[in-house]
Amino acid sequence: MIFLFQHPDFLNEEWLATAAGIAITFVVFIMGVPALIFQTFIAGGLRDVYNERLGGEWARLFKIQMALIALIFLLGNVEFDKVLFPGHSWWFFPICVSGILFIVLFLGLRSLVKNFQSSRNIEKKLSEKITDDAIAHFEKHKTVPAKDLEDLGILARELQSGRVKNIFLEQCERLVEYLLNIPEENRDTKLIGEILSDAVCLSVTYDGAQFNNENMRKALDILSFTYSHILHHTTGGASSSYLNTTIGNCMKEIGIKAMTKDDLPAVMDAVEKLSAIEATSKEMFILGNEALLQGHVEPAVAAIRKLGGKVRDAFLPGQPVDYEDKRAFYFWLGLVAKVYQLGGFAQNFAQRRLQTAVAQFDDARDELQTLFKETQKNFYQVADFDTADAVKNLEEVLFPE
Amino acid sequence: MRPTIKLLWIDDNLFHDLTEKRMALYMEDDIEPHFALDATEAFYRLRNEPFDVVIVDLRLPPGPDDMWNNYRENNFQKFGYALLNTVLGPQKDQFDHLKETRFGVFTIEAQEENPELFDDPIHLSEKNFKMKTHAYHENAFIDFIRHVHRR
Repeated sequence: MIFLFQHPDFLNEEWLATAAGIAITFVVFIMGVPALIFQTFIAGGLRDVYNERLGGEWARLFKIQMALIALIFLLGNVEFDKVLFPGHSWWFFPICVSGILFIVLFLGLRSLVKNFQSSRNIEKKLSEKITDDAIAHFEKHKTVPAKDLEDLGILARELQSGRVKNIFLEQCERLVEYLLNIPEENRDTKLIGEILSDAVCLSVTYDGAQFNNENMRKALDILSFTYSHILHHTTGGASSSYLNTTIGNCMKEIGIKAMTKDDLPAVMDAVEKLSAIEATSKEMFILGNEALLQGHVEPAVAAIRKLGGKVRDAFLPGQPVDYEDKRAFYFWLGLVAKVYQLGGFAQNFAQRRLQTAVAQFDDARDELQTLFKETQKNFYQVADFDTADAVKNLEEVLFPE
Repeated sequence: MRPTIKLLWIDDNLFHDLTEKRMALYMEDDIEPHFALDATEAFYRLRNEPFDVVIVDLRLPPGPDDMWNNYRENNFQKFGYALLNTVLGPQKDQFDHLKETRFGVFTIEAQEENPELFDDPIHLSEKNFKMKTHAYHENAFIDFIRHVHRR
């Protein structure tokens, strides 16, 4: 550049100083300081993801502006001027310089205003960008890159709970829905499971996550919808079984997290949604039992009614009972026994639930007693001695020696 | 012992204003309560399981499924109506297992505001429509469910 100004016909020192001043002011104040301030709007954990996904726009704009500034310097050189615009009028040069300066400043200002106006939507833009990238990549390569899943996991941990996290969950829902709508033979259930557990579920169960009922409910809705969709658009098999297990586990985790925050509606919602999923009696028991340990009876009552319905439908006179239904009975009886131990009206409720079952086994009391023994063994085997003892005590009440 | 009524109650306020009524249902020996919070969740539960009684709130959120896209215009909010219309109307064949199911409506709106409920394809009995009021006690609601079941 300096070389350009050594010829006597080139720009004089005053011009150079003015142009350089504009360029430096522009870089420092119009592009530099706002960029620095803008970075402070982004949470620390998200900064890298933001710079990778959306930071390119700033760099592109900066390069364009630098090129335009360089053009001013070049136009200021009489030799270039003669080659580029031979025989033009004297006013052509100042018009060009002024025009370019105006464009440079306008682009900088527009970027500044745009960034400040959208600073509260950074997280939204980021969630949308990752989802768009993942969908675009899947369309081309039939897979979602590990980097996209990793970034979704980062957002799940770092985003503030509330509105922003709900927007993130909506984008996860969009991605899951897209993957669910792929024909069964090409559908990647493992990938869907990963998104559900490492993004959707993690976003509300992560240790550092602040509690928000709306987010919990949204996550449960996504899980429930995925299950329903798979159930009605899949012919069955190992892949759907894997998703069922993943969804069941996620719902249980969310329910337990809600329990620790005393959000009983979310726990009840988790129990309700779990009850609609096959082979989740254990998860319902865990939620009911955890509620009792935390001093809440309502989720345990809900879990007992749900498990009781499954038991009533499965144990029909003269009909063989499969292992999953037996497990439902074990977990139902375990919870009933725990509630019975509470005494008072809780005991009254447990007795009423038991009467229903006893009435069902009216002609097969031995069979019922065998089930009590099996239930104790089931809980003993997993070292849940508390529940095993509760069932044993109940057995002694129902079947006195 | 009374036969058990398998109930599906669809309402987005189940975990807010209606908590007491929801818990009261759990305590009834002859009612096996199930709940859904939006039209999508209800649609899939109804498609999957038989129920004796289905109680619907008219003002429901649609839920995530695209099937409600036709209704999502002009600030449409009555996805409870859309659900009933779908289950008892164009997609009736998918719900053969609900032939014996009794449908009821429990909503904040007045009966006169919803004349379409009593026409094709829903054909709701006027006695199966109940308006939500603050003074509506749990026992009265449980009686309403038993009444819908008996009809």
